[in-house]
Amino acid sequence: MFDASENDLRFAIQHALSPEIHKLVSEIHDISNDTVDVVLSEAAKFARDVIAPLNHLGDKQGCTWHADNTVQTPPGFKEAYKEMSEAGWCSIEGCEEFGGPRRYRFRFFKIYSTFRR
Amino acid sequence: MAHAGTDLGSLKSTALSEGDHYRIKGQKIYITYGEHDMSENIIHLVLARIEGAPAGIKGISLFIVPKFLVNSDGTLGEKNDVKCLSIEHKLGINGSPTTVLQFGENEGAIGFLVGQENQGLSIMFAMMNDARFAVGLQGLSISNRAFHQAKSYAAERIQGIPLERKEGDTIHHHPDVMRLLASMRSEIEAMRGITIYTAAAIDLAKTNLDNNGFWSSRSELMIPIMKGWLTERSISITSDGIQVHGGMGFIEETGAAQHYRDARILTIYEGTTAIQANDLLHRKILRDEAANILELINEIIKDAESVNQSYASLNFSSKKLLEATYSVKECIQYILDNKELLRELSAISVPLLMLRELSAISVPLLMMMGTLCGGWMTLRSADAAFKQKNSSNWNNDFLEAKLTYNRIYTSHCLPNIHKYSEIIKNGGEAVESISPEMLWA
Repeated sequence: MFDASENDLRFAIQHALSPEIHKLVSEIHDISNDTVDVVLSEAAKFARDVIAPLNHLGDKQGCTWHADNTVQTPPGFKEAYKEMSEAGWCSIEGCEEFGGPRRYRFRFFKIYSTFRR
Repeated sequence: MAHAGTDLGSLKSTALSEGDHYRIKGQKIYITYGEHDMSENIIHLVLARIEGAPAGIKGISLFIVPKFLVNSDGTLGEKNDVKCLSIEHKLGINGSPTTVLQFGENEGAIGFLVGQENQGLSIMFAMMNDARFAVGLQGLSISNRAFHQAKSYAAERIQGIPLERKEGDTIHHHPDVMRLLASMRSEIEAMRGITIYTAAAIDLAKTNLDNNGFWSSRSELMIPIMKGWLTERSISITSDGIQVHGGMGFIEETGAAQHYRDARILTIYEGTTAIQANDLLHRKILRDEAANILELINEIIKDAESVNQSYASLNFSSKKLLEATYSVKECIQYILDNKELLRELSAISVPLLMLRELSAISVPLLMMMGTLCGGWMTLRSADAAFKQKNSSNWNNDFLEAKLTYNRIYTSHCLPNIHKYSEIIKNGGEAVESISPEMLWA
């Protein structure tokens, strides 16, 4: 059973930091609680529907090295990576300077990958 | 020559300047996703020594080496001189290819310098902080997955009649199964808090706020604690996940075993626990006479005192956290005192012994700090849950659970602080008194 513990994460984001620091982080990233909520829900959904189902097979099947020096990842990995990239999850923490969506590098959003397993 | 891991000074890969680029030659092992079929190109970040560079870590430069060269219009060009010779057979993370790469079997792989010559190490350290945060996060993620799996299994499995319960009751009614599940969950709560706190510290350090210096020191302090503690605990938590399953947990089909095997790399890659602990002790504590870590500890004391004065129902956990904090403070003082001794001793040229003793207790020190920060985070969570009760934001069962996990953490995890404290005060000398020959005696 996969459970992204979305609400636990939501609660921790709001309360692991003191209210002042929580406010500061929201301000520097110019992001509201509502937006964080939406991102969390979408990340949890992506992890549950796309990533989690690959976990067991990925272990069982593993990767294959071929004599032409290429490596084949387990079935479904390539498609999932494409989907992850197209949905914007690979660049979400990036800052404007390097073509990302945010003013500052958004480490805070790296949290989404807590769902990735 | 193959090269991997901790001792960067011994790096042998070479780079020869050629126009606007370099030609890289050398073999690299343990390269995660060094070759795969998921993207059209792969960018390798490669450390190598430019011809004539100083020996040791000061002569290392960083290069970008693409799998396929990129044409001026952005399309993919010729294949670079990089080859995946093989992949490793491993205990876990089998979905992730661990490759052996040969750079420059023929004319030399084309590489582009990142930053300036001989700056490779400092650039790589910026990358390492990133990587360490990410691996710590993996510790949280895999623990959480193992917990949910164990929780679900225990809710369905019937075996034996739990003490003073009725026939047909599932195994989570056995007191010890509940102990396992509850302590797994309470540590995961602690890990989650530490992760978010560390992420915020890293982000705030990178801004132009007035106090970004404070956040920079705080994030530097938190990264080894987070990486070390979360990954070490993930091995125990995924192991407990198997224990909840009993014999079924030992069978691969169940899936519980995979989490345990997968977690096992986390304390090793991107700097072993010992590397994190030495970073914490030597760079983050001794270098500034423990100023930063004492500031953190005092903040925890302030928080615990304020909670203690606010609610009687959190009296137990806030009092226990305060006790733990004093114990940690005592250990830090012990280390500082010994550092003084060290300085005096080295003046009369009896060096290194104390430093080696300190290094021998650096991992228990890191574990103590992780346990303390975890206690801090679960108390904050309980404090918030208390304040949120009967508000419309969260349902009361959810908040009640937060309070309970703080109690579980306080009674089952926090006491480890006192164990680590004993080891820190007495254990270094004992390790140092062992000679390698004694291992064979």
